[in-house]
Amino acid sequence: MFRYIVKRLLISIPVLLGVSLVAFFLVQASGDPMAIYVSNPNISSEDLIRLEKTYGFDKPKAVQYFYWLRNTLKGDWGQSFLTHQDVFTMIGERLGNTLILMFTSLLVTLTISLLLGIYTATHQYSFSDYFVTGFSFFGYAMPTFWFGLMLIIIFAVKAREAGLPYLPAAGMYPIRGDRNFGQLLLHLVLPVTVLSLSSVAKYTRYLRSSMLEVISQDYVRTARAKGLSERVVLWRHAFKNAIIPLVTLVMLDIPFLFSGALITEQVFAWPGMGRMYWEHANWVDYPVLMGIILLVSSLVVVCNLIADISYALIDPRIRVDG
Amino acid sequence: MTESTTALERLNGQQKNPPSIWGLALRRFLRHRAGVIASAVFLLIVLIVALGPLTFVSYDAAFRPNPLLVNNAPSAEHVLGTDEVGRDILARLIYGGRISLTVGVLAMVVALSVGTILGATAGYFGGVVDSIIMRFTDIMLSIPGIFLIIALSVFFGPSVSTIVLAIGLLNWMTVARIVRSMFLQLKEQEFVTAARCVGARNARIMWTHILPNAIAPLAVAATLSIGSAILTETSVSYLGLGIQPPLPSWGNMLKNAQDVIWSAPWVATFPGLMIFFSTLCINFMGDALRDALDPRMKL
Repeated sequence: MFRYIVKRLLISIPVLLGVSLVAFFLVQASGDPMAIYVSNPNISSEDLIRLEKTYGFDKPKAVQYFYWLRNTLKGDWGQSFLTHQDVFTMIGERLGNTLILMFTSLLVTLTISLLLGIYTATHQYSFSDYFVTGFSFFGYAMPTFWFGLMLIIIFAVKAREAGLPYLPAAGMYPIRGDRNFGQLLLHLVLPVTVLSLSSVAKYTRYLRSSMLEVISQDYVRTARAKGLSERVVLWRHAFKNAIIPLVTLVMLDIPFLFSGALITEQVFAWPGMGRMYWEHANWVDYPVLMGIILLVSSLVVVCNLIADISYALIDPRIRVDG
Repeated sequence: MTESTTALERLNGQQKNPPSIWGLALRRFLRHRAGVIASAVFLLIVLIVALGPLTFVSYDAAFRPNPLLVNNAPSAEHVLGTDEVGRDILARLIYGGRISLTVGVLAMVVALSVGTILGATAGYFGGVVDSIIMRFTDIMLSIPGIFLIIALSVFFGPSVSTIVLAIGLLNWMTVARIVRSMFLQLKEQEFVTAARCVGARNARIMWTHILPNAIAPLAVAATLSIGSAILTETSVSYLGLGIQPPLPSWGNMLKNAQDVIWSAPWVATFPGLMIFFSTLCINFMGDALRDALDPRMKL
């Protein structure tokens, strides 16, 4: 087991290096960061050349990459061209907000899809089974941001017009008033619903089919034959095995969760990292863009690692040697 | 006992009237009711979008701003209302559909081509080539696509071709994995050895002998990827970095909608419905196609 973990850790290093390489050249290709200064009439062409020198833009791209890599590894993530703040601090301020959104959504998603998945698997071909399966197709096809807009129309705009209690449609806290936990929860309702919808659809379907597969196995029949109660059979015998593939799936879906979070943050003006990425992308503020991409990808790589390892831990049938 | 008799009966039935593989596939497709309805609806959407501008939709209604008609609610004259500069929303939906659906299909073609070539090469040659390509696939899978699409479309100046390439080039990984695993399985089979014995070259074995066997999963993946490409295009356009106005797409029609969401909610409603229904139809079609072509395949 130990060797397996070490091996997987070693593999993820070149993957992360590759990510940084791909990201660097794509982001670099995405434009000239000096454009901010070129449009500024107070900066002369000599200043421009001097600035290029200080930032190292006069060097070949490959050299720039190694400078950037060296500094990043040393913990110096550079300064934003736009705000001149330290990138590490900037990301640190926003990352928490994104993670709040993502984890709440993950929690909600898992709770709902576990309940629905098991219910539909134990009530196969019932009306509610068809209903949930139909719903999962809807969840798949729903454009995230539009679903958000519709929720805003219904629960913020229309509810307010009708004089009913309404939900906040933007931000993390009210502009005026207390910044307390209750307000945060209230502001989380709509974004979390939006972010959870498609994964609830996906995991429910997935869990349903893996539950059905497990239920039809011999050892479940044996458990029933022994006279165990249906509840014990379901939760102790079937559920444990049905959930294994879900662990991997959730971990592998983390990149989509980040993508979804970016769009959700945009719709609900959530002050997260994705929104910051979008704001700075317009200015080719590449220290910020690179910092965010690298951080997000590292999280993804770590999650994949966790998926592989936990998979090997939960299921002894998986061969870990070699 | 019962199982064997039914199998025998089925066998007898088949011998009486042997249907072709495609006939069987068609029959299975038609049995998937949702898939059939979805295909019909999708065909209707495609026809309206393709033929509308040639017949009943005027260019002016879709593109010329009209200060007298700003944010009008749906009425007999403007069935779906007008937007924030007074353009007819129905007309823009139809023009926008041309863009959004085209982007979806073309991005699928790009993703399918890249994925097939890389996956086939990795699976067929194996060894170092395989490791390099699959590590590259891992790398691309580790970066959430939308982050790179945003960066790319900022630079290349957002346009239809940029967005097609960006979406296509960041979504080939699933296809590559499917094709690779098919090739790994198939390259060991006798017909490949036979082909090699009669002197067929690698390229010929790959493209004319092995690839046709991978058509079923590829067709399903291709169909489903049109849906996800449409969703991606509309999200990026909604963020303001995809298709640029005045050219309408279902996504960028929603971009300004959020500003008028309090006063004119219909502006936000209909483009989203079109995205939703098109994607829904495509997903059902993919599902039916999976049942038809490869009954053993699962999610």
